[in-house]
Amino acid sequence: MTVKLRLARFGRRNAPFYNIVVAHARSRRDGRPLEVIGTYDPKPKVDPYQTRGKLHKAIQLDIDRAKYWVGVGAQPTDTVWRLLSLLGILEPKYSVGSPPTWKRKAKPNIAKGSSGEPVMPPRPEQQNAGRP
Amino acid sequence: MFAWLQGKSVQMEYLAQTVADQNNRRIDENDKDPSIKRISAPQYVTGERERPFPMNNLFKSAPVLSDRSKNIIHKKIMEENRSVKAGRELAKPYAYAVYAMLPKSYIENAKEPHENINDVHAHRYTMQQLFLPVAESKRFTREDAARAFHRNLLPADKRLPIPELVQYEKDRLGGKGLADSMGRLLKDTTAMEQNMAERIKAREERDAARVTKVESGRFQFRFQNFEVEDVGRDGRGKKGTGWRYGVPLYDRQRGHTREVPEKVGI
Repeated sequence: MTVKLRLARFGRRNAPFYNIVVAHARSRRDGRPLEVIGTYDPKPKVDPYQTRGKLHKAIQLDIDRAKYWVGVGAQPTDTVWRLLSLLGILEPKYSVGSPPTWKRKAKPNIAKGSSGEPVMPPRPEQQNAGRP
Repeated sequence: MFAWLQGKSVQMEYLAQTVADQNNRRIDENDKDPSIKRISAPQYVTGERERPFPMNNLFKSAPVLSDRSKNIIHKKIMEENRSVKAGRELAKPYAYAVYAMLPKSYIENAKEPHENINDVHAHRYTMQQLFLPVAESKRFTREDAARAFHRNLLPADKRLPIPELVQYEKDRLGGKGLADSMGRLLKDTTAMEQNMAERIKAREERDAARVTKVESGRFQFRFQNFEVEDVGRDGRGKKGTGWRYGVPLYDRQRGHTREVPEKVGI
């Protein structure tokens, strides 16, 4: 059976806390896994006396064990993949930490004047000039 | 030396005033008023002196102190300044001898607090009474005294919070110049502070080495490495991480302490 690297949700309502587990794909989410290789606390935390800068997320992980399970063919879920790619264990599926970049659509045709220079479209203020 | 024993305290004077007033009134009435018939002893119905309650055969009263005797005692103590322990002398010669042998401290300026520089926290082990015979030929130092109280107790010199200042005072008393002793003090304190800073830095570096920090767009992800094997064979070891399986979690049980902060982070 497929072995997966995935998260098991613990914690409380509105206070999630995940175990990073190695488990059979068909076993229930929070059941006893093959192995617990770490934890992931998704709630951003503040350092003591921190007033500015980024918040941090705390993760505990047995990195050697994670590498081993990936090496023997365990399949990480997307979330675990993201975490492992932060450490460089896996190739990132998408750019980490930034919103996914969509393919740009083709540029709209810009009207050109008689001299060949593009004519700027009217500004919003000009469009709304007559309105109260 | 014993002048403070001779005088009257404010409290005693007040007490003396009130007690004396009452007693005088009573005695005046008793002595001066011829209409009051003075009886030397009470006459009970039973005819026996010790049985004031005729129906109670079992009660025999012990004699109480008479007013007259009370007045005599009061006069002796409050007016003649005699000791309550009548007839017992204070062991003054012994006290004089010990006083003559010991060093004394004087209050020179009454406005300033009168304290020694070597005020140390009194350790519990040093509060016990201890009889330790020591040969006069032997040198008995503070180290020996500390060892006599407990084998692990440090001597007072080493328990002082700022040993550099003590060394400075010793240097000054030993005849060293102000510049020399101050120079040593500055050198020692600088070294001490440097040592402390290095220790703090080493601890921070050690903590940082355990954690891999990865910057991402909004958050910093902190990966702390740990060993899977720490959970033990049954998976229930205390050093293991994560939520446990098959173990009750008492975090909402009444009476169980949850997160007790043990220190304040810096």
